[in-house]
Amino acid sequence: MKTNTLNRRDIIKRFGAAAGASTAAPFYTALAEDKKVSQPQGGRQPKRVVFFLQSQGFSDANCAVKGIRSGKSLQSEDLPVFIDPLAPHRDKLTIIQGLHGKHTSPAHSAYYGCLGGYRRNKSTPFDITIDCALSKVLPKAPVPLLSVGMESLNRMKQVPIFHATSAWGPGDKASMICDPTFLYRLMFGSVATGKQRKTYDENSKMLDFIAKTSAESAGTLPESGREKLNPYSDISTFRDSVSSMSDSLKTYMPEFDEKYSAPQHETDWHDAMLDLTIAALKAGLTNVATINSGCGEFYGSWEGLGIDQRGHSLGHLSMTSNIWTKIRQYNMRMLSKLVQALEETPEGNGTMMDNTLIVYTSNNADKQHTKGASWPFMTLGNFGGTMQEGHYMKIENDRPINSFYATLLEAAGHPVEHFNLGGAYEKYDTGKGPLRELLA
Amino acid sequence: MTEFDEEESLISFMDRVSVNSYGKYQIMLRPFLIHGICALLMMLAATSHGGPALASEVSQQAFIEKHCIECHDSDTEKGGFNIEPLTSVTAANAVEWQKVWEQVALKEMPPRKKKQPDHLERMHFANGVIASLQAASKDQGGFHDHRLPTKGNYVAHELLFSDAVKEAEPPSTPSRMWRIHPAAYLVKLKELVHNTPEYNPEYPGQLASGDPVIVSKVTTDTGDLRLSLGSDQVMGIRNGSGWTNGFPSVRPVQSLSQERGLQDFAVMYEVTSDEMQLLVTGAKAVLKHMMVGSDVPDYMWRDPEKYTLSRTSTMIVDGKKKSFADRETTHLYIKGYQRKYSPFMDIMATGELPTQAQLEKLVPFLFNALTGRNPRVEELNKQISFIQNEVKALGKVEGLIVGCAPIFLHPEALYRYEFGSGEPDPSGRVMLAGEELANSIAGALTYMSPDPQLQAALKRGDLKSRADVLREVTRIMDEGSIRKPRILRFFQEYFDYHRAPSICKDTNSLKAVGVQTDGNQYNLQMNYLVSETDRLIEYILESDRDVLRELLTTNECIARVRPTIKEENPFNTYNDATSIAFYDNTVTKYNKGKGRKKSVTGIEDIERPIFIREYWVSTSVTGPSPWEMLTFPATERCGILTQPSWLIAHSDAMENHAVLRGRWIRERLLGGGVPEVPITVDAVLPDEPKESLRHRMRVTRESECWRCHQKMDPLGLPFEMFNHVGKFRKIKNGKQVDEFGNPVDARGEIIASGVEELDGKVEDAFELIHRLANSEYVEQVFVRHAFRYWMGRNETVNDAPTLKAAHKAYQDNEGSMKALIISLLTSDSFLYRKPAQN
Repeated sequence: MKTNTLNRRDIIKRFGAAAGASTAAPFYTALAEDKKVSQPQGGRQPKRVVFFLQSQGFSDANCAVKGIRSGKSLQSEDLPVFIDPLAPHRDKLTIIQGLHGKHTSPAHSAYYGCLGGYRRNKSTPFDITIDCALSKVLPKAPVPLLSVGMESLNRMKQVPIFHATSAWGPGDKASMICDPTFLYRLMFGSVATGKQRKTYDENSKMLDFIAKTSAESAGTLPESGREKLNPYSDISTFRDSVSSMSDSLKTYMPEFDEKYSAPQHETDWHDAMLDLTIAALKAGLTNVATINSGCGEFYGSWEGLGIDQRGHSLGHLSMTSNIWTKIRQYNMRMLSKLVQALEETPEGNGTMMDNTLIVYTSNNADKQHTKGASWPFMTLGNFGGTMQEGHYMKIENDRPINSFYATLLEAAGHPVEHFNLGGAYEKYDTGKGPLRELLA
Repeated sequence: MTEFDEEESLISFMDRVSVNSYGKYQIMLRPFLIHGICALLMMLAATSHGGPALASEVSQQAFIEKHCIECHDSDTEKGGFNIEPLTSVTAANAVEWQKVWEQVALKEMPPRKKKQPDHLERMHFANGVIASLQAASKDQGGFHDHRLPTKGNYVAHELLFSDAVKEAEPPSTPSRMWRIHPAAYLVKLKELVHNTPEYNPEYPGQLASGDPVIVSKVTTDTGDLRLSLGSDQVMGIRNGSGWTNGFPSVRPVQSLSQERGLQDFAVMYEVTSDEMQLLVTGAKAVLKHMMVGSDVPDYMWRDPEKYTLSRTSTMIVDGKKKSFADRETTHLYIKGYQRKYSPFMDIMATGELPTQAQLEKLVPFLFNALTGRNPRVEELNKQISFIQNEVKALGKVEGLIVGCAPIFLHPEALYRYEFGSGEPDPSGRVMLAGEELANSIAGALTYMSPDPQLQAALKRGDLKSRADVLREVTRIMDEGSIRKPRILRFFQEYFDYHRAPSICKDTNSLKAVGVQTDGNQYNLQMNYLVSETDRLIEYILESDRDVLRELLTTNECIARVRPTIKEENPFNTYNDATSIAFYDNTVTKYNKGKGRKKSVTGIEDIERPIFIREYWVSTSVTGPSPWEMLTFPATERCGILTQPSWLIAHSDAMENHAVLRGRWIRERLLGGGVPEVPITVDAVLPDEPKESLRHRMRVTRESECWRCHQKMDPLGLPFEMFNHVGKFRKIKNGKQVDEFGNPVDARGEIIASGVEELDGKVEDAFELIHRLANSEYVEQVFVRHAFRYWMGRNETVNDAPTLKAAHKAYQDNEGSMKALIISLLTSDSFLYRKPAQN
């Protein structure tokens, strides 16, 4: 297995990472690093993974199936009301309870600690997160990680790029895109029509002028200075990279309708983000996506569901309250739409869903003020036949969320004894290696 | 080795994924050869950045044999650490070698009971490890930890304030591009759009032009920095967290590092391609605002006929009830405000397209504001041509926006160039000159471009020598109208008190200590506390005598002692939040008319009331100020470390944080350090809610913890005299008791400071602080921090002359911060550059 090789850009990018500084792995740079697109294989294989993180918590009660024992099929079981929209996909659903994230010290959000399995830190990730780690071992795509964020409309407009949950390494944050119009132009601008194409071309022209100015400035500088100006040219490198996929982009490009241009509620933009994620997966732009409902923080807004309350105060409500039931069911409808979209799309001898795993959890364990003692997950799909599906699984022996992430790496063909537990291994994990019971 | 080579890139990834996965590759490494390690270290020590090339004079091998092997070979393995498998420094064992470096540099190893290497020997070994780590990590981006502010103390103090290093090179800073701090960039944008008043010496605390963009300190805990368009016109905000989501604002820069301590180092920030997209978005919004004004929704303008306010968190908008929480409706604007003048106004005054002459005025205006210099002729022509083409293609407004936005992303708008020019001196150094020097002087003290006099000096050729720099720096320091936010920022980052609002306090814990828990009140109070400490520091700087000692020992405090009088505030917002309750345990109901029960002495002349910079606007300058300067008994307050803002910033949601407090003293006053802990270690104290913190912290006294915790806990526990919101604990029967009635034990101890007269037990926080405040050594540590802040990097032994001169200037001028800063900014370390070595 050949992994990403480090190029000069990488070194610059990781400079800040190694320094523990507050750098952000540029979306553009990451895109430009590896243009090779892996083509669908005939046989099944773990190919793509989608993480869906809901802010403020996901409790055991939300996914409790009455009277069921660990290892039993969900096929004939009634799902709790909170996740009921997944009923048509029971055969693909696995509910995983019993994991903990006590060492992540979640409080409002575990931030990078959710997908990293380490102590919460709002501003600096301590190490790589599982979505980025999987991106390195799954088949390559131009966008190694597509991370999207969903929030109130104002927030999504004003904070088009954010960082909270994903990281390529220590201090090396992965960008989360929060504005769907921006993401639309970023991914599909080169093949779009009308105003979107016009804006894309205008921006391109402006960015080219900026790049040219910087190149002229760089010409007068020593090597150390010139390297700092590389990001100026990364944008056009990225543009060339994506526009070279124009056929595929045209096939799967969503229609730029009023949902994007004149959203009534933030949920219009949430839906748009989901559509864009599906389109990116189908077009082969990415194989790893992280959907952050609430942007990995402890806010969030769902006026479109008739919920007037928003922000931090929502977290003070019970996870089984009417409001949270509405939000959870909305999450589930999104997951259902994602499953259907992948099932409809042929890949090899089957469908895209055959080679996909969808992981649902919260970026803050089971509730807003939590100690992380319980951290439920749900998965959909069997990841190219490597993971169990359609079961309820109660993990025994107080294993941490890291053990689940080690399981995902094992399923993706890269076994590790543990993920990001370092020297504290014995203290926070009673076992070693993956959760065998989850593997096929 | 073929297999190893093929898997190399995988290892580099997987070694971060799983520490234990190293094991399966270790068999491919060479057997332990101590000579192998040392040869490598010796060779690389000669190239170690910042240290003299003395490798040939030291023996790395001897160091390991003499100081490490006895306890850390495969037989002894003390502390579970065996140095034998570390045959050479590789990417895979870099973590282990980093530990070796930390332990040796911080004088943790060899253990204190063992024979110690001398300072030079220790430094050479540590530099050798750094150089090896740099080489081994080259393909992973290199090793740079030693360049972080948190590692500044790793250079032995003894080598900096003595003549021990004879071979040191003349001081200089590696040539570099220093990212203009995002907060400074934001101020430059603010000055383009906000009508902030000029500095008025009558009201020194009032927010003035050139002051920083003050955003809600409560909601910036993820490091967001945003410019709120029109916030100069905001009259009131109904909800603290509303700032996050509600403001019509632009966020033209990515998040800041929110770690504790100094943050503005040249290695810490780079512009990424993602951020450039944000910068474009921000530039467009600012340009649009400059041309056509704000697009604030109509209902946000203060218009009593259109809506009514209530004292709750709801508002009636057009007859519909709306919640304030987290919404844009939390911000209320003055109706019909005036925009700040810019050349855009002349262009927009007519329906005509911009003329050549108008663009020749506009482009230099923007260029100066953003890059600190005039455009060169070729730049001017290209920019004007681009604008004209865009105007032709997109129309006047859109064309001007797209055409001018590139200036906001000009490399010199984002980086300060520091390469120097001219003939190198014998040691290869060149002095900063011309625009670089002018921008470096301005950037050291302000968030603005060089002021007109500095630009004039440059133009007439009077900015070439150290004497020129001395003249200009002294002038800027003396001129109150030139706002110098970087000075206050140093004290914020040095003390970390400004982080108080980011501590999310538990509601029940607040109630238990008598703090108003309503979100609005609490958030506002947190912001007040920080702003009050800001002003207190500014008052001490105004006197400029014995600054550090004053900061550490003053018993004066600025506090909001009464609510805003309703009639003074037409919006009736936040009129009952005070901060006096955080200082004085007996005053909790002052705003209910009961008055202060305890005697405090107001020393401020009533004719010159105190104004502080609140988080959205400065205090109204009309009417009496609700703030007073108060003198507390010296047995209750003693400097910044006993300000509620500092105590809260070093607490957690429910209680005091003795470790954080102790660590602060260990690092910032004693110049020491504590090795990094593994990322998953998060020690939890026993859940014994009614026991004292000291008792619950018994777990840190277990042997494996105590080695590090002895450097922190005994320095932090004396602050148990205060509760977790900074109140002086109650006295019962002549003794302090905590909220559960436990007697307060505030004893502590300074252990292993490296200075004999400092070590020893203390009865309480006051004795601890006074002992530290009277120490010349502590003063030198303070000078080291000031050096780091103003140079944007850690000191090396080469900087010893700069540090000694700065300390002497401070002492010779009776503890003058001004003298200290001037000394630093006229030093070789500040003025000279040398090509960077990798």
